[in-house]
Amino acid sequence: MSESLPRALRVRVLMRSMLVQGSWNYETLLGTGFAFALLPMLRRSLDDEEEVSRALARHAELFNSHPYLATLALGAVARLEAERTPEQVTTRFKNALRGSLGALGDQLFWRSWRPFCLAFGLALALAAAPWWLVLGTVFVVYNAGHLWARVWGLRTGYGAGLEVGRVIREAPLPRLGQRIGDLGALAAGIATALAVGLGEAPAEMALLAAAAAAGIVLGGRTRPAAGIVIGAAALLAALLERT
Amino acid sequence: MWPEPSALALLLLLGGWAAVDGTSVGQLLISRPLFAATLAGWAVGAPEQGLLVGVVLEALHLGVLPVGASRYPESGPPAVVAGAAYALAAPASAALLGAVAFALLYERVAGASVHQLRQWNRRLVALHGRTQLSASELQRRHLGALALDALRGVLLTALGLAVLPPLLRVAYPGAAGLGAGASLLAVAAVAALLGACVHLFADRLRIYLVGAAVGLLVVWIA
Repeated sequence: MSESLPRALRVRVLMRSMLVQGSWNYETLLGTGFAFALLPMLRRSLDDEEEVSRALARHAELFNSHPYLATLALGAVARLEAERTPEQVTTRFKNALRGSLGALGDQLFWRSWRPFCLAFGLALALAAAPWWLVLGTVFVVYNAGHLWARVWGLRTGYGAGLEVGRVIREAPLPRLGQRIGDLGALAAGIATALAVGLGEAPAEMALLAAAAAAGIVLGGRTRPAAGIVIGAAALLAALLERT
Repeated sequence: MWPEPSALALLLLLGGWAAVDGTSVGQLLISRPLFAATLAGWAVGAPEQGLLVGVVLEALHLGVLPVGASRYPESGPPAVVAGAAYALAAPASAALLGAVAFALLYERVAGASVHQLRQWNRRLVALHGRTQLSASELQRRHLGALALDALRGVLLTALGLAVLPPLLRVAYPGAAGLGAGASLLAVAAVAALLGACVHLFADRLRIYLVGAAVGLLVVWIA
């Protein structure tokens, strides 16, 4: 069996993987989307549409993954279907993969890569970069990482098949997450200083620095506190406009 | 007060795109406030004003994580509304606070609509024990759910645009007014939220402070 998929098929599956959460729901999570993305590979491997229909019903059942890492599972399952692996084995395999792909993706992307890129974008904006440079830079950098993960996932999943769990464990993904977290903290620090630097007088800069320190201390309570302060100030400003 | 028809069409499309980008399609960052608000400002001819709203809302959203099946406020369409409305209301700086405050409230409404959508999706894709599912039926159900999400985003954007621009015009008719104070408060909120980020990055305080030192050096040199 070939270790890789034809390019045209890979592109089709990658495009479909972008829609994998299109019907996300609280019962099957992204099960239907998984079957949707898997369809071209099932048609390549299975004999007729009836077999494909049965496989689609099976794969539309409960499944979850981080959306960017769903291609790891897609590739691996496509390999198992092509090798005519017994259904129970494939189902157990998917169940085993479900939790780890979600947790890994959350840590790598939602807690590290995305906040880093957005903090970097905020730093650019606070440094008075043109709006198109801010958006363009962040969009390109972020999605380069995002799309690399999808492409890597599909290639790795299909190549490894049942062994994909071992491949994930051996990949330096936790270390990569750590380094991205370091960059994120650095970017957040730079952005904070740039925000403080927007003060037009020493007193204003001191006030802004105190706000940053308050954020460090308050942690997760900063968002609701900021929301309340902004809301109250908005109301007060509207009232003062009338006096 | 209201956008031109062509700008309105762009905003509704952007709102729909921001809605689906949040979960259903791609997740390419268009649903993030930094992008949604700035692009909304661009649609009405004032991207820099949209960026101001985007920066404040993005700082408020850095710590909001869509992990597991948690329910969280949805930022995309509300940021489109806030970015466009502030761009239309500018240069009334106090309107920035009003636009952000509205977005924070409207995100709760948007989040509730996401929850409802997911309930509808559950019914839309349920197989009720069937062992066969044709490709055409699968695609119809899946893409139907996606279309519903896009429609949800368009409707949210339309409703928000019907409310916020006239509200800002009535609430903040003055041009300068409390501009300096409002701007300072907005920046203070951003600074505080960026400070809170150190916890998002697993309490890497030393690296954060190194970054702050680098940033201060940039400010001093500039």
